[in-house]
Amino acid sequence: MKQSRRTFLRAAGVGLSLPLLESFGAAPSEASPKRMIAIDQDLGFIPKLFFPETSGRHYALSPYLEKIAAHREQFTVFSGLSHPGVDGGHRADKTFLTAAPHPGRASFRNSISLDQVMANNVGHQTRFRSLSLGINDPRSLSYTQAGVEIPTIQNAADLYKKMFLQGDRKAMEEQLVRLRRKGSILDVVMGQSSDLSKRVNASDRERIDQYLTAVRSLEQRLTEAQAWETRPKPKVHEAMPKYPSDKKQFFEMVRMMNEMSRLAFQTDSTRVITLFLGGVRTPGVKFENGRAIGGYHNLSHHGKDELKLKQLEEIETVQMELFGELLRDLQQVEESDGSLLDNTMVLYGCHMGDANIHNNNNLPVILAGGGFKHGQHLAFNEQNNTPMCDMFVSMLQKMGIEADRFGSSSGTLTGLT
Amino acid sequence: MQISVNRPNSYMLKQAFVGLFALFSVGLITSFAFGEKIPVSLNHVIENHCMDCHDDVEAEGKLDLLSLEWDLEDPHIRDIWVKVHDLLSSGEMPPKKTSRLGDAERDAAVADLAKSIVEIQETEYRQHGRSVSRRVNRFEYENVLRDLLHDPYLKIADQLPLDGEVHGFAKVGDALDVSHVQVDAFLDVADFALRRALEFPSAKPKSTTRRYYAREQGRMWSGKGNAAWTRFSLALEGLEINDEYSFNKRGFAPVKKSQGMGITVDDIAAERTGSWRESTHRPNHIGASYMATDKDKGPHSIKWKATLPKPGAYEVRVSFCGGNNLATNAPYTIRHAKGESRLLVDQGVKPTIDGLWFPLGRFTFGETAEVTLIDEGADDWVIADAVQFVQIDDLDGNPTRNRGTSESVANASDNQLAPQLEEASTAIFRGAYTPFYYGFEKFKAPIRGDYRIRLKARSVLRQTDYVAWEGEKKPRFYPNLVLDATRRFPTPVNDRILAGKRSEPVKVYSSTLDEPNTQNMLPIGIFEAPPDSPEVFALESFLEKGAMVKLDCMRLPSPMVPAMPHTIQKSDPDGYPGVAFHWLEVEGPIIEQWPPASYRELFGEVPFKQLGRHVVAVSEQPLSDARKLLTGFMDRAYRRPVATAELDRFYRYATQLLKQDHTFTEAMIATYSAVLASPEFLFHCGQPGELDDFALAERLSFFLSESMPDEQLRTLAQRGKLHEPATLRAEVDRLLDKPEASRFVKEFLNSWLKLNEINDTDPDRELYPEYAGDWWLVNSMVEESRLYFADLVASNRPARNVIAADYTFLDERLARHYGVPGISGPSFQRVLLPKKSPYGGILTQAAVLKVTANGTVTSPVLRGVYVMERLLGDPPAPPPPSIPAVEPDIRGAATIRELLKKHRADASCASCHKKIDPPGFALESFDVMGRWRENYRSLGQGSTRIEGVGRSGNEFVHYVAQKVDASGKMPNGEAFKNILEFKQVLLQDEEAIARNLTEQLLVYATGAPVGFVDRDDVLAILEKTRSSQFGVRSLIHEIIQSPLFLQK
Repeated sequence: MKQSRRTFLRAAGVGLSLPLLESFGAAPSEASPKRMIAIDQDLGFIPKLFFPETSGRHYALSPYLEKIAAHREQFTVFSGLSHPGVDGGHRADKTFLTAAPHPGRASFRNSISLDQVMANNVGHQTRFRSLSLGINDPRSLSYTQAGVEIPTIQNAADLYKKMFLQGDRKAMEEQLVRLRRKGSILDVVMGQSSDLSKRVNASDRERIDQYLTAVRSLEQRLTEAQAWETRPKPKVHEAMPKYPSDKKQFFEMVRMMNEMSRLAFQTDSTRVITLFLGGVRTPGVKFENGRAIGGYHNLSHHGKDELKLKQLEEIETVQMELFGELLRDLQQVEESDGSLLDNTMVLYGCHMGDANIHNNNNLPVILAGGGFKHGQHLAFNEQNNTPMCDMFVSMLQKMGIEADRFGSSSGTLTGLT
Repeated sequence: MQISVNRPNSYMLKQAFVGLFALFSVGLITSFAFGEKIPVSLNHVIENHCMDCHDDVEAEGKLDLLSLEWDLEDPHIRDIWVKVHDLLSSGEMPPKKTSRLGDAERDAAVADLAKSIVEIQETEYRQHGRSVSRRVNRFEYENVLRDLLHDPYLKIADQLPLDGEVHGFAKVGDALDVSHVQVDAFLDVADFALRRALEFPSAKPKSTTRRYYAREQGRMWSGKGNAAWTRFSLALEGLEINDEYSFNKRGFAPVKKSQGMGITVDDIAAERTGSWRESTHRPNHIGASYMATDKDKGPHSIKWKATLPKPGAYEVRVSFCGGNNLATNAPYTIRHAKGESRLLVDQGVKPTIDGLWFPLGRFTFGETAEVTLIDEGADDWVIADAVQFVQIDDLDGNPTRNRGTSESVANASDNQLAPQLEEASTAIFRGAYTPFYYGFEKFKAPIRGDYRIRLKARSVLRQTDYVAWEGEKKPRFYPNLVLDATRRFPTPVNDRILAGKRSEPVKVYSSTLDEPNTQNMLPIGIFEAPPDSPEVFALESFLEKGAMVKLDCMRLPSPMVPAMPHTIQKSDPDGYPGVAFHWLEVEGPIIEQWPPASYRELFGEVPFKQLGRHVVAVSEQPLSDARKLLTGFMDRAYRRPVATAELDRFYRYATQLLKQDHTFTEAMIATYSAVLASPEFLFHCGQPGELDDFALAERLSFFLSESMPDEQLRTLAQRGKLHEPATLRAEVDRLLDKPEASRFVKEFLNSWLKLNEINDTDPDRELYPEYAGDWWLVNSMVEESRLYFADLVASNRPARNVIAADYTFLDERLARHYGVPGISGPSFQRVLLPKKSPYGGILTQAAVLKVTANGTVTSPVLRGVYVMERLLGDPPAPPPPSIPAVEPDIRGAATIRELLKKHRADASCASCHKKIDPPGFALESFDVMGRWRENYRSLGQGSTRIEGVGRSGNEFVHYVAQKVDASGKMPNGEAFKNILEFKQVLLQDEEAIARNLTEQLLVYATGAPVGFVDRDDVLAILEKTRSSQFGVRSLIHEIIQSPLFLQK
């Protein structure tokens, strides 16, 4: 069984078309499940304030890393990582977790994202296979096997409702009716489709078959959703967040999404989350003291202008502080075998190395928690970057998935275990 | 060049090559691992003339011909061989300086290579067809449902995931992938669209006509949010300002009870000593602003005085906003008929009356009254806003108002007041910008449908005198702004209203959303408010249920910071232009068909009854009705007659649902949803070879109407006539003249020219303050491109007009942008451009220049790549990954050209940049919005410092930096000095311009990239259109008559 699955993973370029293989689910033991959250901070960081100047275990923290100094032993900061062949500046957000080459090109096609490979393997054990979240921007980090963008939840209050608010019996039954009807519609579609599939030639059939696979995959999700619909939702002490409608309350939004993510993991509502911090469409930011800075995106094109750089630094500093808060909150949740942070891989970074240049190499990346060896600056070659997918393979394996390849990987990342 | 060679196999091939050469020497031909033969002639050329540079060691330009497999079935490898072919045949390679390659040798190798590639592709076409069957993309899906359900304003494309693209077009089967996300979304939007057909009342609604006065509309004042924005509105009666509304009461409806009562004295009218500062920070103040003490600036005092209408008992109320950091012991002194009373007030509390006023108590006054507030001894900041004296009689339920207008507002529906309101208007002095939009919110469309709209308005001019600011500090908005040498900030007094100096264009749009998104606006129309006297304008519009009518004074600035009106740059030297709106009149809904067409499409003659807010169909014979309705629906949805077996499957589902006690309506909606999710509906199919007439109708219609075939196309297909050349030609003309052809223009340009990215970046407000929030400009840019292209098609203009022309389409705003005099008003007209104008031609359209810039800087590289790829059909290779990109620098020390020079010094960059840079350099004469510039702007240094307040109310400082150098040299050495000369260079090869346009249209029309084997067909199209100078309509005709279009 093990062998055949491995073969299959290779053949499919790792993206499984998720048969529910119970034998690969989490074994019933006391071990807490592994989780993963990947966060893409749209506009990245001013490189010289982010990257440490020295490497190894005794590296000196950079100004930004000082903001999360309390967690020094729980994270690794990387330099010299990128996705080979990924270019296109801003457009690389969609490949941050997929590594599909040339997102800026007219003929670009995306592939499955890291989180979805994980979700396809562990997702069936939780109410939500995965959560794709976004702030101020509909763009998503999550892509299906066919490279189709998975829509994001844009509001922390909506997410809270989905996870924790139990509808009354009537609402539940209405939802079940809706799910069942969708399922029955798909049955008819399936029957019809197989007729067509027989009539067309080979290359067309491949297209139709992809459609049928999609229909089947939706059917399966609907069946799971029906099962979960009848089970009570977890209860939490935290109140429903009052999610701001003003896009400039960006920091408040990040804080709330972080908290919802922590709760989602804590209640085992999901084990896989992606979060896109949409800086480009954030018109400006408001600080806690009421001060506001406008034009976040334009500041990132600072063109080395000093005032712009100073304002950008202020924003990025708060971004780092918020990341620190997330680490702190995960750390404070105790599980049977360590803290929630120990059981959660937190990937934080940006798809651009430097927003002023719009380049896509030397990405600023931090990996925290998840049971890896941390407390170091792993510095790879800045001229000849190491594929970030090597890290993804390490993460897949940590998740208990027997993958040895993902995207442009060349192996696992050395130095993490 | 993009090379994707499978390294692991190369050793094997190397051996094969070695073997090959060995065999050549004895005149034998060998075959490769893939069973294909590399032509002898080609191999000879490669071995003798290419290997010096392009072996696995040198691999110049990343081309390693030693390791390149001879596997033409692999599309990537084939692309490389095509590139080899093109470089050889054009003579570009081997390099002329060193080459000893003879013409005969070259020609033989080129011909043999071509033959091999053609053979492979022709086999593929025979087996699979040129294109792969594809599903509809999200825009087509929306259009199809609109047409199928007779719901022309249905909006669902945004609910569907983004589609994959090839060459920028979401039309190619290989890239139109599907996953569970799409299927789920298809089901949801189909359900949504189908249920809309039931959203109408069971009784035909009567059309009514009603007038809504501008003065009644709260949204004419504040939009949404900060009260500071109300400063951009004034209440007028004729041309007289009604102070009562404009400066104190804000004219909100419903009127708060405390408004309009008694005598109000605002802080502005009070006597003050000390350095008070004006503020609007706390929203619940009275009048334009309030005053606050400056803690460390010594004592402050303020005295409000009022002359009372008659002596007697009054309640004294003060306003101070309340909130944090305010004194808990603010000392008020009231001088009344019996002497003085002193009160300490906690300003931290929320005012108790309407959240605005705090009662100090009742006092008896003679003819005058006086209230004083000082900050001596106060334990925190003190706020002084307004004081109100309300007669005790008024408080007992019989308020006397000082002017009649408040009452009018409260009872606006009372017809007796209409004549008064007819003269009353609300004047607006700004454009619309999220969230500060304005409109008639008292009207909400009762049902979805058509309405007639009338608006009464005129243009006005607001004149203001300025006095220097009293205090040392400037208002908090612009703490750093230096306006003049005295460092004094002007403050406005004595507003006067005059008739406008010109007409003002007003855009009318509708939206149901409380949060308006400019992208979601549904435009109703544009009218011009005249300067001399109010006029009534009539427009017709479709409105969604619950939609309100919103307005945008297009020419006026859109403040984006809570600025004072006078800090916005004056757009006219005489004063601030505005538009005075009197009323909106709505007639409707205007119903021509009942029940609506969308109901008939789904339920035919089946009767309906009301259920909640919608209707349900009630069938007497559900089974036979279901079969009958389904037959008609599926015929139309599948764009062809439906086989009984296909029908039966869905019919069985309907009957099964009916048996399970689903209602007739629910059973039909579920069944229709299944039809709309079936691959027959979603996919374009066809057999390899000639398309049958139904498939042809489908391809034709999705090309020129972006939707399914209409009735006539279906009929012609049914009769088997469509493929006849004359019929086809006539149908193409008919489709191009239909209104739906605008969908083609829009979607084609969105993909080809990337016009859908027009709003992806905003101009930097510091460098380009004049563009901030100028939606008129951006919308007009896109409109120009669409009108221009539509005209290329309609008037069969030559393809070279892509590059240059002596005309374009302009409205007032764009004409100003282009420096073309004499165009006024918001309607577009065809304009002959002045001689030497750099505009004319898609190449220099503002929309193109905007989507190729990022809002802060222009990049010759990005623009160059765009021109090569989109307009000239010669896409450059992507940059090698190891080369650092050029880092933009707006400090003014170096131009992008100087930065690029360093970059080009690298040999591996130079070979591509010699092609990319020339168009980019030529376009450097245009800024990020496509306006002509002689100099760059910088934030760091330059010859002249420019500062002021921008169009959005933001302060800015920038510098005039280096001169633009737009000269360059083409790869063939031809030099140009500027964009005009550059255009002339490009126009020397009209055929290249036509070929690119043909190929772009072909990908769009057929859903397949133009392959090597298709080149002869493309040439044939060009030959046939040469006599019309490659007229764009002729090109479309010949594309459709070409085998590339007629075969799968």
